[in-house]
Amino acid sequence: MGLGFDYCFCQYFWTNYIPCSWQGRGLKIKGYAITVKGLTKHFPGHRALDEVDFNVKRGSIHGFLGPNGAGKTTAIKIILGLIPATSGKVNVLGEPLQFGGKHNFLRYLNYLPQDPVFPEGLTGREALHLVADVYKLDRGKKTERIDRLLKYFQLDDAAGRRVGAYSRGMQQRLGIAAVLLTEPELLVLDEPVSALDPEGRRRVLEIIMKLKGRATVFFSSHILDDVERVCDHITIIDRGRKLLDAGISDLLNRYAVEQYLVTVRPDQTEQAAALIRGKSWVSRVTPHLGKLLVVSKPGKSETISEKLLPGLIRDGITVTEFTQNRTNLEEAFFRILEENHGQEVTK
Amino acid sequence: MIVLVLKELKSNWRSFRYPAFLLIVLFFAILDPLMLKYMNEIFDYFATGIEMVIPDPSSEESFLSYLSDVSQIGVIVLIFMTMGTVAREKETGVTGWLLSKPIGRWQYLAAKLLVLYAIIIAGLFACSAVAYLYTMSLIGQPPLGASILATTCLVIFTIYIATITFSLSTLLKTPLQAGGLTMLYFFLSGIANMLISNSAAANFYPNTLLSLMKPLLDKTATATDMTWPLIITIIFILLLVLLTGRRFSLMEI
Repeated sequence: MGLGFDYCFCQYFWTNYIPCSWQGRGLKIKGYAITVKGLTKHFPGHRALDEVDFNVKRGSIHGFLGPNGAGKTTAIKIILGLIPATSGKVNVLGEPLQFGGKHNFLRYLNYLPQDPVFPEGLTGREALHLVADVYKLDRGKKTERIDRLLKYFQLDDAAGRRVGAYSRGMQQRLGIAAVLLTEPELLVLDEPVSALDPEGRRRVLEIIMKLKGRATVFFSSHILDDVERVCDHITIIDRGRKLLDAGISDLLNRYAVEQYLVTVRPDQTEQAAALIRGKSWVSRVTPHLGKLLVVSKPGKSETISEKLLPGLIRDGITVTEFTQNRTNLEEAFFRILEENHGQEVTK
Repeated sequence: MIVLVLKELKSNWRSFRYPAFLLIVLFFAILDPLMLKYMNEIFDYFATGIEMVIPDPSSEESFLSYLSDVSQIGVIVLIFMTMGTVAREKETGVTGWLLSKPIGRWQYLAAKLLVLYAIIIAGLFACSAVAYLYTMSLIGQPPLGASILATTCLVIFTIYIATITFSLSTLLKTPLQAGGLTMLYFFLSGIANMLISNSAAANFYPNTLLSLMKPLLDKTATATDMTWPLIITIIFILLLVLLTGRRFSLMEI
């Protein structure tokens, strides 16, 4: 008898550290994992959050972006019940958040701080055991999962050493292991890959991607490439205000600029550049290593992809190469920030 | 809760904070009877040519010497060891990390207090037993009942000071602020104790517990004399814990 689908599925995921047992409630319960309405937080002489609204869908990977000091960590701390909001409503896993109250949702949530810390004097293995015990993990499962995680994150050799002696990257890996250990329904990750080397980053991002549909991941990051790779929805905040809350593809369509590299016959370069500059949907044309770099106006990416090449051919230009430069979130992000700053200056 | 208590024990044991306090107390438990027993020989050795006659120490003096040293130096060491109990974890972010898990704020504080009180109670009674037995073997047997009562006075007073340090560590931002303010209180309360020791107010003052250690061992005071200071100190301890817990449960972490 051959191996069943379930077995193969489990084996496959275990090798990437996502156990098949990790079902959470993400797929079973519809609705939002987090809802934030009119969230405002004032510190003395400083407004950290101002009427912020957003929703995090269950089973989604939700990026939370913003420059340093935008209010990301403050919002996360409010969601976790660590600090009170000045006003606004927060609902986590169906439970209204009330500062100072008892929250059952914490049993289904696990949080990774920006700089993971562990109680003084504990070894890596003991820190994971502490987390497992706090979440009341089954004794049999606990040891097996801890061993597996330590191995996956290449911490098995250092497991007996005190966490205080770990490098920042090792502490971050241990922090991620501590989050995955409890197989939570909602993972709140504050800059989860900031201290990791490329290999560590790759592994963590792979895990996050595989969690889609199995758990909800709400994570803040300033590495926009990573966010673009793994998220299906993002919220951007700056200076305490929400600037955007959209699906990643919507965002790229709305804000990202399309770039094309066009190579033409050398004697037609000037003519081609002039022709392209005359189009209303083109923002700029610049020579780039013997080619022409054509940048669309925001929101006109589809027009440029449809009209640029046929237009050039129609005008008698011999096009020898026509390639798309990758559109990325980074440009969209900075564009949104610029627009926001521009509006503030105008005001 | 047990998980947090074990974590607290492990952390404090490995950071050598509680062992340091216990070693200091044990040091006095062993050294004081020895010093008093051989005081004449020590003076003969170091002060040659000067004739000094020191009367033989009594067993009560020896045990009181140990209790007095612990009530001064031991308590100061304890303040240093406990001033970061919560403040240090708040500073490093461990408190926030733990409270983002299914751990209540009262639970978090209770685990720390439980370990702190257990170390003080077990450590001081154990070291007092060592001091008692050592005094008995070197000098003579101090009165057992009075020794237990005097040790109880010391334990309750030490818990009182430890609770003040703990509360300040919870409410203030840094361990240094907590330690500094407790030290200030410790010295000022000592001075205030001298001023009110002969008045009726002494009955309601925690430092009276320390003043009672000598009369209890001399048998010029009885267990009844320590009733009010003991009750008042315990009430202060409970109030401090309650107020600290209430404040902490609504504190921004």
